[in-house]
Amino acid sequence: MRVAEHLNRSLHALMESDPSVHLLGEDVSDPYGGAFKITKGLSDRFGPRVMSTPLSEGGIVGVGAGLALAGDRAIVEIMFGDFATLAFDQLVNFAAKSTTMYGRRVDVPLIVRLPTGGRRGYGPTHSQSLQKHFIGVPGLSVYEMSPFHDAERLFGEIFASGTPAVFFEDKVLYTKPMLSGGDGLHTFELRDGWAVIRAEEDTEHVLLAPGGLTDRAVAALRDLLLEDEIACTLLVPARLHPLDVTPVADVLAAARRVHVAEDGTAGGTWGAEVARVLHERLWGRLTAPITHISAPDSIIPTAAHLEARCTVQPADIRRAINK
Amino acid sequence: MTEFRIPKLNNNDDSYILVEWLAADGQEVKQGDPLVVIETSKTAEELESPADGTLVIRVHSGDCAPGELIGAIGAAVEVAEPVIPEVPPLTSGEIDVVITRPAQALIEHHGISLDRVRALGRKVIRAEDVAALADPREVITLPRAQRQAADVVVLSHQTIPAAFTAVKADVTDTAKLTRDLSKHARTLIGLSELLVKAVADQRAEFPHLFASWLGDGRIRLAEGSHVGVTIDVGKGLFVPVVRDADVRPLDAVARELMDYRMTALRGSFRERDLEGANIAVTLHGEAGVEFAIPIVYPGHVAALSLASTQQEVQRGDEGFIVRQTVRIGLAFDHRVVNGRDAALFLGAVKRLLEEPRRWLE
Repeated sequence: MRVAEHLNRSLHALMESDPSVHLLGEDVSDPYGGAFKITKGLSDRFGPRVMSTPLSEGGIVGVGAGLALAGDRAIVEIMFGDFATLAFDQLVNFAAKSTTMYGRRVDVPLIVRLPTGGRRGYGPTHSQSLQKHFIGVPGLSVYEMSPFHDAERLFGEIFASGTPAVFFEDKVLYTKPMLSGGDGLHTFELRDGWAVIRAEEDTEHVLLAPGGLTDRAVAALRDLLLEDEIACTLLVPARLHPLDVTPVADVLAAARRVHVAEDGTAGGTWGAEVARVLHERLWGRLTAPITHISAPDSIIPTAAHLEARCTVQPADIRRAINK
Repeated sequence: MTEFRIPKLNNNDDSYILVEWLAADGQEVKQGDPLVVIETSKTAEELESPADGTLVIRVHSGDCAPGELIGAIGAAVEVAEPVIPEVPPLTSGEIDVVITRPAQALIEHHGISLDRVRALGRKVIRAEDVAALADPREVITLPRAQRQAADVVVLSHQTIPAAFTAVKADVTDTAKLTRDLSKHARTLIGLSELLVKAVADQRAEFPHLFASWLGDGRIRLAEGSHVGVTIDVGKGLFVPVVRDADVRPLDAVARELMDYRMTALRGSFRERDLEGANIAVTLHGEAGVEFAIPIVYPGHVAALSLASTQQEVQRGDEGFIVRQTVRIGLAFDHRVVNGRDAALFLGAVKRLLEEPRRWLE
């Protein structure tokens, strides 16, 4: 099953099992079913709980947070994650803070879904990976879809936490199959919010990457092992922030080199925060500073051949790990 | 017959998904009839028939690419081979053995059979694994005790800048004395026993040689003379410790050393037998060994070696005389002590060995 279909089924299951869940977003209703078809069939099935809204990201997120604050649960789709900037105020100053502003802890079960990333030729304002702007906002969790993690479980986990979350979904990942078990070379293991992808145990190299990079990271892992004889374990966390590395502590403890890859542009990134967390944990055991692989500090171009240079490619990951 | 290819539907995707055919294989269709649903990353599109005729479906569902031939319209013709959709890079299932490209090149170079490669029992075969297969020489793993010894000597070499000094002692008179001492003490007292005791007795005067390097120019002095003595009876090298050898009499030290030899031959050492030394004496009594350079144990400052006794012709008052001599070596951590300290220390030890009267006092 492809990731897009899995997400769609997860939303169906979630809305079926929990009548307090609302879904809002631009053009999410049938027959269109959302720009990426993730909300297909939901409005036909759940009627007024699915609402196609006017083009106002701040408005939609504000309504979603209001629903969550009032005791319901809300999933908001921003058609392109780039426009989460228009909802930044509602996320940071309203949704995230509302959990602690009423004299007692208040749950805000809100998920803002953000189709994200380039490699589609959508140009500078429809191709970005803005995860880094949401890292370190008190009261806001940052998740990213991966082909390993069950989306329905993640949504349930976020709602249960009572903390609002942004949920990044790589647009190319939509078209890729969900993965489990292994690919013949690597085994895929799930543990407490992390996917562990490896051909051998206790590898010298460990690569951390969000779910959207999975296809490129696994391609790089293959080449590294088969061409360069370097065994590397890929760790994919479902929750990017706050990052809890305890479930994969054994994998990290065996590592002598650690690398972090992400699609965001260089500077003030998620990967830098991961490196800070890991340097504190692994200092003295690593034989080199943690490697950081990201898109360059550049506005993402539309033309495919230029865009390729501004998005992380398997060869970039392989080269960095090989260094 | 008209080919039915997927047109380029957008600028963004290099592959689409063929969701379903709206007409059946072999069905008569008219130009403009909706034929097939293709899903791009943004939308699903119906493609219309480009001609009238019989539909021949070549790709039934799944991944497809712009320009790919998915069917044909025309007279029913035999379709040779179904087009197999491109295998996605990630597929499920187990491969019994993965051979890296460098390993594959070596396998071909040496003409090694895949059975032998499989027999390695490894999931990933690297060049070094194949190189080992191609090398007929046997590879063995050393016993555990030797592997531990290896770790110790490597650590010593990596962390201790050791210098070395040796002295020659004339033990002609001592040889006679040790026989008497042995008889009297009812245990073997030889040069080894004398040396252990002689070394231990130097701590008051040479405390730095019993110390431990702490770093930053600091050392911790010892609270007693705990002398490690090498014993190797062919079952591996052990360094049991004679504790407080400075405050115990010679015969007690000798008896403990004898117990340790027996343990080495018959039993196994307890952890406490082997712990807590702050200086070491290494014994090289095998005939013909003139002198030996010991390894300073990590955490120690000094290690001594006792070579075998040599017959030496020396000029006497009238003509020549035969003397018995032995070389005593001292390897020392040059961060803590210098050559002068080493020479003074060795001189004191040498005197004790050369003047047997002192042992009778």
